[in-house]
Amino acid sequence: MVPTWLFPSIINSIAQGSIYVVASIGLTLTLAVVKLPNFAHAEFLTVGAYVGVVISRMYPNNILLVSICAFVVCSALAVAIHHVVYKPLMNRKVSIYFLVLASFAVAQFVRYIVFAWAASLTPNLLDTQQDISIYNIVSVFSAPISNIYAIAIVLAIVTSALLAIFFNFTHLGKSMRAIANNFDLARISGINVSFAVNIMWIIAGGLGGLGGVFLGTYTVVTPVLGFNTLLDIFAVVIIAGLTSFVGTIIGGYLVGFSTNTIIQALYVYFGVPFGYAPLIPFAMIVVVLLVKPTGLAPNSQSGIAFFRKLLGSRGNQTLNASKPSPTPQQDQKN
Amino acid sequence: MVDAISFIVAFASFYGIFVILAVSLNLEYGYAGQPNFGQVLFYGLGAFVGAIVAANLLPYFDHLPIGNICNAGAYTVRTSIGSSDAGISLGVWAIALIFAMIAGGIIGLVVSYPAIRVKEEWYLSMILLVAGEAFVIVVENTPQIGCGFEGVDGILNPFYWVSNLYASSPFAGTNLGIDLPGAIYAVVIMACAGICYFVAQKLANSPYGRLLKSIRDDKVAAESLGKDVAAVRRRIMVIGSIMAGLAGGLYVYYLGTATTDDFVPAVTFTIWVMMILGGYANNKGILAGAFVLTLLERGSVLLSVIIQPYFPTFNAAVIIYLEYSVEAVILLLLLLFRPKGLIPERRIQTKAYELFDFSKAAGQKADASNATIPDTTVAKEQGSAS
Repeated sequence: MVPTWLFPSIINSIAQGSIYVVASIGLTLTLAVVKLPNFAHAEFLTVGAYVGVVISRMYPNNILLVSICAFVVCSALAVAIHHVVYKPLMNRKVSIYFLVLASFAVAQFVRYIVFAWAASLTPNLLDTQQDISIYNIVSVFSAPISNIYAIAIVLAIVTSALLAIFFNFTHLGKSMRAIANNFDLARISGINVSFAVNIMWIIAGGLGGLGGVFLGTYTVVTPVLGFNTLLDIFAVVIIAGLTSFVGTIIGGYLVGFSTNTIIQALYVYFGVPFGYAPLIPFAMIVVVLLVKPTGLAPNSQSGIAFFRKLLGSRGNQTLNASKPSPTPQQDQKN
Repeated sequence: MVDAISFIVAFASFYGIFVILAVSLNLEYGYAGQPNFGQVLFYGLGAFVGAIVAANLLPYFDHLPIGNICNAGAYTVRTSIGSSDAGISLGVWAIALIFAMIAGGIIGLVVSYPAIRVKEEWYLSMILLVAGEAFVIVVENTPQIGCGFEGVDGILNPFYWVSNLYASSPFAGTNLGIDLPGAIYAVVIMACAGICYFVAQKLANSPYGRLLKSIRDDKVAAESLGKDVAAVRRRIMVIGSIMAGLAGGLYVYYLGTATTDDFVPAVTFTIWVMMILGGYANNKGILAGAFVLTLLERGSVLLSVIIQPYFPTFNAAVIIYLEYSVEAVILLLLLLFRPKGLIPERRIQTKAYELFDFSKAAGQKADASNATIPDTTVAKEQGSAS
């Protein structure tokens, strides 16, 4: 006997997991390429959601336009932050704490500027909603799927697949991986590092903004929207082992399920209050960081191999070349 | 006049509390290199433990049934005891502070277990951040602990009975006694801050302080010299957490209410700005940094109150929001242009350095502290020789 709450809850989990994937895949990208735990990533969500509020007031129900605007604004913000704050700091090769602290400062700056802007308007926008109507398009097992959920699920799959392809098969993506491995070597070998890093920030910020738009469609938009999801996003990324796209998908759905289906099951069977929902991702963060900091996902090499297999044998030579073969070392020893 | 006095009292109270927090963070990060992004956890824990202990002990010592500390009756009982009985309120205050410190220390010990085991450096800040948030969530959703969202209120200032005494004294009509309990309590907070500062200064300038710095600068080297790095880091975490717990206990008695709203990560951020602004691994700088930030924070609150009547349509909260962004800008500017802070870290002052004034020998300007030492003949000779 299947309880009646199960199917709607699973649909919710999948949809929210998809939104988490979109929201946090940009952070995975940041961590993979410039190795920066960007705590300001959550503010892209806030800004994206507020861009959604402003644009949807002017052009109601136009989710495509809203998404494009949010993407553009947030990617511009990300590039600006990179050039003003992160780039000078990274050029000086400061310690990781200073970078973490700087990203905290950027997050706080953006968050409270949004606060001040939203509070100074009349009527204020501290507690508002996007003007995008939500309606059910299909029902699966008597569980309705809304238009937003459908778009989010499709978007999550498409973006993560496109990013994986971009990262593994295009020239720019490969140069980003080179930068991730060895910054100086990448620069010496003629890769336009600053261009690639700019593109990285555009993608990361823009996807963060997109995630914010979708998060803002079904929740109340406040200036702490992003900040309240910050640790969920980090949970996704940490479960992913910080740099893996496949892992991000797994992590996103894990967090989505834990904040919906799992907490509902705990509530129904053990009476655990719903307010405890964020503790599950928190526990995941702590356990993963302590026990297996490389994440629960299959490592990036196996992810790449999977996509290679999926898309044919193209590029296999580089994969083999990148793996050091054991035989020459043995010869040297002997 | 009234505004000025209450501003000064509030400023002094907040300054003392922030100094304790910043000094404890400085011990943990500045000296020992442990980035504690969960300072708010120990601070909030101290506050809630202090409030709960006080709420239970006040009726207990007055031989009244304790009952549920969250309902209105308990609130009336607490406030009436606090405003009348000097002995009980001071005694309970002391016990509550001790419990707050013990709770901070215990949780510090518990948290330090994962803290010294993580691989990458920033994982620790992540874990502490998570711990701080988890604390807020648990307290908010568990009404059995701290009355949930409402928080524990009615924790009167331990010197509140002074105002009753004052009302029956010959000075009753004068302007003298405005917020007298608050003023006395502010002095007490400052005294506690002074003690913490003194302890931190002693720790930092002792061989233990040098050990902390050696671990911060090179963990492997310290370990290879036979130092138990894990134990030292655990210990400094406990010391810092005890101080933060004390700050929480003092704060809840200042404010009268323990709610989770006061223990958001923005507080941790403010303390970090204080530390970086003053200059880490430098307790004097901490005093300066805490002063600037407290002035900024209290000043913005005062400004928002003052201008509200003149601009009735303007939402004065904007000023407070902008103040938070100004803090962030200060930190960014510091990180970008002056990462060592206003007063950079100095060499540890030991007897050997005082006797053989190496800074003079190297042709640098001597520190003011060294100039006061009578026996500087060796240093002078060295200076003239070079």
